[in-house]
Amino acid sequence: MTQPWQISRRTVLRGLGTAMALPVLDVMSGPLALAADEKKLTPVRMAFVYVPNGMHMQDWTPAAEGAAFDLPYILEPLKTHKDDFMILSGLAQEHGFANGDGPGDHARALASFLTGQQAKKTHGADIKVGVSVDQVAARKVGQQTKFSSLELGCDRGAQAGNCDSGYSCSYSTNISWRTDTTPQAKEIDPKLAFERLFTGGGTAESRSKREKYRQSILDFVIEDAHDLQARLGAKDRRKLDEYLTSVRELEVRIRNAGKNPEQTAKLPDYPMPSGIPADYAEHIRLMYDLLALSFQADLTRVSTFVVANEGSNRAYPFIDVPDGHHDLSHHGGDAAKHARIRKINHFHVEQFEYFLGKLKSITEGEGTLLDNSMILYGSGIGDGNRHNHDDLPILLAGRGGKTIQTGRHVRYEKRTPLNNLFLSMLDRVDSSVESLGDSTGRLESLS
Amino acid sequence: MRWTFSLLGLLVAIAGPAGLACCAEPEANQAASDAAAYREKVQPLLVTHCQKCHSGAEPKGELNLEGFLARGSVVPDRQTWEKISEKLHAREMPPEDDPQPTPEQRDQITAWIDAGLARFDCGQERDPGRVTMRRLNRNEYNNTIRDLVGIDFQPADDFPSDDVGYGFDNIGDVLSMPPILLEKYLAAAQKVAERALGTEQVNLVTGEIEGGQIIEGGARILPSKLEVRTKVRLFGQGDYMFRVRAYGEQAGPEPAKMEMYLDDKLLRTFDVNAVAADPQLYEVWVTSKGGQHTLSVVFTNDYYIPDQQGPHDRNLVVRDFEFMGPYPPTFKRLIAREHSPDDKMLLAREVIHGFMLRAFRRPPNTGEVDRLLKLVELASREGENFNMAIGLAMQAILVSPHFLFRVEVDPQPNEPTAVRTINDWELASRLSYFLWSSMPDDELFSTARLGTLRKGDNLALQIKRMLADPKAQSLVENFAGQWLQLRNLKIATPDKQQYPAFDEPLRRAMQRETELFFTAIMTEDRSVLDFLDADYTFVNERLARHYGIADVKGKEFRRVKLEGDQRGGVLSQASVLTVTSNPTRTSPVKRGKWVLENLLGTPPPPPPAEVPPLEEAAEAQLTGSLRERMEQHRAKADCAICHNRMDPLGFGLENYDGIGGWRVDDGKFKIDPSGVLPNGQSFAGPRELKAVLKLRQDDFVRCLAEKMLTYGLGRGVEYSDKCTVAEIAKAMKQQDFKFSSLILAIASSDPFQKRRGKGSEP
Repeated sequence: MTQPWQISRRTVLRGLGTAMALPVLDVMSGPLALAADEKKLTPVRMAFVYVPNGMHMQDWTPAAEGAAFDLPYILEPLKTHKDDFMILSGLAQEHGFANGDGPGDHARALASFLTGQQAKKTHGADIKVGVSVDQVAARKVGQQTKFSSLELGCDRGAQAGNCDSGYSCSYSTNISWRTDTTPQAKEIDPKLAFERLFTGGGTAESRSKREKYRQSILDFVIEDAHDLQARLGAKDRRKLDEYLTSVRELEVRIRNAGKNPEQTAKLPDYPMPSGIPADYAEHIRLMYDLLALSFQADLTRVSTFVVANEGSNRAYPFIDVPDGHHDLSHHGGDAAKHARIRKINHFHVEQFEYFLGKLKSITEGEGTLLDNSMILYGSGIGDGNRHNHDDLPILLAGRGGKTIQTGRHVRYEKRTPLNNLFLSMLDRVDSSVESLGDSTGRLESLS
Repeated sequence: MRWTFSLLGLLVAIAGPAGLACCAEPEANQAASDAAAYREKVQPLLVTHCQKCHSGAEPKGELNLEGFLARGSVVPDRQTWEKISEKLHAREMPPEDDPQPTPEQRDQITAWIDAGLARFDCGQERDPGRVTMRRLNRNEYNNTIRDLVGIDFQPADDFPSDDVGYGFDNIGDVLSMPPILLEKYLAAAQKVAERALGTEQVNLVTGEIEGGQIIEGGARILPSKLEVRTKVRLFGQGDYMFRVRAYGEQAGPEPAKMEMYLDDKLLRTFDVNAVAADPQLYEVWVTSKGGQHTLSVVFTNDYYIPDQQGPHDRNLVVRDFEFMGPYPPTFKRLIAREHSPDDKMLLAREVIHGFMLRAFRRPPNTGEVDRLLKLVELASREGENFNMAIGLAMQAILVSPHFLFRVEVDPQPNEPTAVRTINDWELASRLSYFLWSSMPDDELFSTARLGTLRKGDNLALQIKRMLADPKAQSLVENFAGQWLQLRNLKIATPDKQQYPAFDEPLRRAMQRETELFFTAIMTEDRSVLDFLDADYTFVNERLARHYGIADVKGKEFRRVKLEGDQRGGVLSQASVLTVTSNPTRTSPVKRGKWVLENLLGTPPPPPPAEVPPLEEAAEAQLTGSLRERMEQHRAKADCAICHNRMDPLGFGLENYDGIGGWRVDDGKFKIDPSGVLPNGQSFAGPRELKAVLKLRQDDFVRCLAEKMLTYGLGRGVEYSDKCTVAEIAKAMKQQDFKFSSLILAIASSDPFQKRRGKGSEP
């Protein structure tokens, strides 16, 4: 499957894309360029990759622990990277469970995955969950890059209907939460993502003028917003606060627009994608490409990627699975359905393998980009039929700048909060916090 | 079209003192029987199963039922009873280790609570609710830009998708504003300004001027019936501005007259009142093709009486002669003025004021305009031309919260009891975003300015006009697309093996049928009951073949009269039948749930949180047809209560396969499309099922009213809206359920006409 498909992929790119060299950004004169410290030159990046509807755990969890672990069917595609990742079994996201809120496990699974908090059950009047781990990092280190964080996905939000048993669709489509009430929308079109990341076109002079104008436009609207704020009721004011927060974020981006030219200069030519490909695998890989490129160019250090929205009922006819993923995940013990679910799981891991390969192919300092990254891969549901949120499928790839001992399967005590892992990851990107969501401490045995 | 309602009549119906049937019932009697039912059937169960934990100094879940149970009245303790009902429905309570009520007992309790919740008092105090400030969603943004600047180029297609709440994507509370979106707004604003005003250099077209006599300063004097002209080469099709700076050497009874021509076409005749000390600009817009053209100015009223005292010789003096363009068509609309003042800042003020009024959907105040003029000054200082400077101000307007949000400012925003009637500008916006998903047009603005929108029949007349406008297609796309879940058709993936007939032309045809069907009910002002059943639909050849309708050729859709039992109403349309199916088979559960949710407004409670563990399900080997397997599953008492409501409805539609094709067999099994509903009603196929649904027309009308109200208001329908919904349904009944009666009743209702200060902040 992989081989002929890869050829067709290149053909598609050549056929549709415009070969476009990445622009060289302004020469930067900040502390980053001058720092001799290798840690600064090769910062640690973190990304969270999410796959929906749980995992066929029997074919995910290695039987053996430690370094001599085996690779069950779903993990097979990763065999060439076996030394570069670890499997963490037994971690839980307790707030994915109902805890008195009744059904809605899919919504809760995604909403709690990076927050470790209970989503407020509402159709929309008052959505609320918690700040997600990526946004904690984005707040601390995001100021140093053009984009404080990058949110990617492949599915649009729900188009109609209710998403999950009384939960707003915000919960089952967004993984990243900037505040406890504001989700970070994701970019799903590779072309638009590319434009946003890499085009700052025009001459330095025209760019600086444009930035000056943008700043004065923002100044104007900030005044508008402040005037208005005083005249609004509480709920409206919350909407305006979201607006103002975004304006400020944009101001920072304008200021940081010209940073890190050396890294950008080193980027390979990459064809501009032409839109959302019809081929799903192609779509996923383009998004992984863009993620790798933006890490490589240090455009951002924090990212999330939702491969499919939680509860996705996408069919996978191209791997002979014509049924909807969600329908299948309620397999009721049916062996034929099991076989199809693990096929889907396997397919997603194949794409992930492509991403790891990409990160590994990029040299950085003494190692590779993957060595300087922490890429978490997993789902907020264990078994799709049971809707359990403990014993989650969690994989961590990359050595986090030589601070993580990969190549192992570690089994943690049952119901260890996933958020404990997040605390440990935050430490490694200079974003330490005392606690996050339901964390009870830092996770042991990472290094 | 038949439009027979009158606003006055309807308002009387709504505000009538008789109130509603539900509330007019002798309350004492009802209260007595209610209390008896509670004491006999409900209270003992609650005491047995709940009170042990939920009492005392530290009741579980901070819910103390003592006293509360003794009162036994739903309305005053509504919120608590709602919670209890939810927990019981979801089988979360009592905890699984404790003794459980039987399913019937459980049902007994919830039925009593739910009946109590369904009763409401439509007294005088009416809470109109409060809509949270709504951000324009993607569709609204695209349409608003289209109507504001006149270019339909869909910039919002690049925006991240809007989240959905209460089934719709225009809910104020749910529409958030992440940084990525603001970034896109900024980029879109720049694009809009560029496209609207033209960033490419607008050309000053020049040619050698002939004619007249040259006088001091290079001006040309036309002493008698003479013309000056020039040949120009135009760069292409577009709008050009032809401008002449001139004055008259005045004499005689009238001012000098000047005609301006493009080739042989008279563009305009001016009275040139200006005099030598103060020449004026005379300009005219002209649309022209590219290529070689001749421009000319003719002096037509020569006057010369040599012997007369005082001024006796009238002449026309032409100083400058300019021809500029081409401008994008939008430029003329946004910037051009009949008589542009010479003072650029004055012109800028006029232009910005006009644009701002339409963009903010209300008159701007002086301070707002002043602040924008500073941006114009800034750009001018940077050396930008006038258009670019205006463009910068335009960009600021397009990212201002007053444009991006639909702001309704209250005098007492934090006072929950302060109810106000929204002003006419706000009402015009609510109407236009409701029916058009866009900003008000000039006519609506004008009624708002004059304050006449609520006068006489105006509201009804405006609604009639708006529903007939092509822009009302947005109501089809956005309301019907979400109510009937048509939007999900785009992402439906029927299995190619199972349904080889399914292809893209069929997918599009399915979608189109339902859109045209909705449009027909809307524009022909038909009864909304047609949604349940109708003897007509719209098909093209592809869809007709799918339905087995003969003699339809070609891609074009046409109305057909339906014969037989197979088709009629949305439930038999392939679009709905496909989105409620799994990729490889039909799903009677999904279809039944769809009917309960979207047609009857009685959604089943969500399934219990704990799905039975694997082993148990695996043990019971289900065999037989899909229907038989489901019936075996339903044998479990816990599942039965809800599935008895959903599944029969779905079975009644089993004659339609997973893409809405008609069938009598499913593989080796014969289809049995009969069903029995929990209330004992039975039916033997889709036609009889529809007859049963039509008996429940009150439920359907209420359901549709609730959905439409949610969509129209941009917020969830609350308990306090129940009276409004009942009144809308009543008004519709009086108007034979005509589509317009639904829209008018909503637009006339308190929640649409009024708002109050904030509610309790969660």
